[in-house]
Amino acid sequence: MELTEQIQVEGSAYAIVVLKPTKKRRISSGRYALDVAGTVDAQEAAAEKVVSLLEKVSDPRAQAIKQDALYQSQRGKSVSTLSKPRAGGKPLYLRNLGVVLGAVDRQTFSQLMKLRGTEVKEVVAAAEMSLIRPEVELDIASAEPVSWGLQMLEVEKLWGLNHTGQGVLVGHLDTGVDQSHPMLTGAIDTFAEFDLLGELKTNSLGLDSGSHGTHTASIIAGREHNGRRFGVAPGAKLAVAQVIEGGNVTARVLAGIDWAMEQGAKVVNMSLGLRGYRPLLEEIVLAMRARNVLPVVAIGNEGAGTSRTPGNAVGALSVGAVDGDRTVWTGSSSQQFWVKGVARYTPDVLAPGVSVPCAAPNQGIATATGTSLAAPHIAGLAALLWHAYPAARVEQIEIAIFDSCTRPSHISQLRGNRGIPNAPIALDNLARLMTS
Amino acid sequence: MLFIHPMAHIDPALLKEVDRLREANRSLQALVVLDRASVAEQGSAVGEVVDSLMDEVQRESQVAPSRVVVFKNIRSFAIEAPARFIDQLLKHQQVVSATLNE
Repeated sequence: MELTEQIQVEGSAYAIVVLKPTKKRRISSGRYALDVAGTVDAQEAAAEKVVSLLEKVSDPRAQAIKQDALYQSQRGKSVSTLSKPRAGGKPLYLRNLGVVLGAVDRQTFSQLMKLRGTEVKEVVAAAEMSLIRPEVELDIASAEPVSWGLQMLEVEKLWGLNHTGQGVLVGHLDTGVDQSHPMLTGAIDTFAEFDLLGELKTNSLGLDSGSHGTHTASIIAGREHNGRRFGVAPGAKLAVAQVIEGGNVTARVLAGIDWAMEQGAKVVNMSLGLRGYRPLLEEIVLAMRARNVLPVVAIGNEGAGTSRTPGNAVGALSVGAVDGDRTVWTGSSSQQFWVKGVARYTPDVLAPGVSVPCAAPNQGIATATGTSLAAPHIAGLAALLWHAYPAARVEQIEIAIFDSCTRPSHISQLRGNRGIPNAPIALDNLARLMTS
Repeated sequence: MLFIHPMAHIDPALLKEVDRLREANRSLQALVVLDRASVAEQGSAVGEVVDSLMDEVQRESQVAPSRVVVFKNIRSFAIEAPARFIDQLLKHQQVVSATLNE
């Protein structure tokens, strides 16, 4: 997305301001080279001017974190546990690169444009691409028979009604899975791998290229093993698409979505995302919904005032992370967007995402933290609901989940939006929607 | 007649890359989403719409794509083609969004 569009949608955005003045030195007749020392000197004044402009803009992330701290302290929560903003609020002048990094709003952007050609060469968005990675602790010695996440959502009550996700296929776009893990025995329907342009590979080994995919798969559809249950929908099956790691991710993510839909997936879990907002993925998400497929997406692990695409796309069911005390994990992303003057909040809902027990490659178990672990809880819940009502439309499943949510009083709408879903209430909601 | 879709979202990084590679006649990879209306209006499968678009762009640009992978369920495709081809492709109304494959 263009920086101007990002400022319009988000109010402000992180930008790289490239400084203009450069000095050259003559190295031989008619040949010149960049005079590094001279350029740095020449840019000092320009940098000072740009920094003084950017200093007036409040850092959107720091502002969001401050607001959240205030909200929590007013409701009796200790604010000392809140993390500090990861990105500093002050603009950063990188002398040797000739750039200034900082937040830019509409007014500052227009002031910077007036300096274009003299002090400023260009102003571009500072979006950065990377994957959502959880914090993992391997080989936990003990875990409760039913993970705390499943207890919080009360999914056992749906199992008691024989709704286990049986007959529902869930698309799983991730690093692959360790298919030999006993918790995933019988859970994998099919597996696919793609080349860098998104073409289906015929020689897939069907492995997990890391451990991320094995974690998330076990939370969606992990089977009982040694008396332990980590999977929300232990009767559901997975269409596993290995789409991340190793570059050229976008084509493989699209290929994975398309392939999962071809297999008949009703839900597609994506514990992945690109930083910032990308219009292309919003088109894709809307195309999925048009075919009655629910995209469930992790919102990101960069904290308040941030989000990732496609989690922040209109049409995605985005998920943030809470801990066992129903407090938002400080790393869980959240961001407010403006659509034609109306505020839209991401994530849509919160789900268990801190120290979540899950399967790990090589027959291991682990606990992991991040919104990557929260999203599979909601994908699994959607599978349980679809098992109960196979003719449900994607909108009905989504409304049933949304209307089952409760947001604890210490969580602001900005951080937690609708709050945490409850499986039995969601089932009741869906029953009403299906008969109305 | 060519005209860019009024609501088209073309990734600025893709446009920059097209500009950079056009003169050197080098190829790049991109992801393209087709407009909902034009796919529906033509009443054809996404693959057929992509085929016909590729033929048209090839005629206009005088170069051919080296690979195209169609994602028929999500109105989109991945393409590897010379920058001149991509440049011409982005001018078509059927293209509603495009980005670099990164």
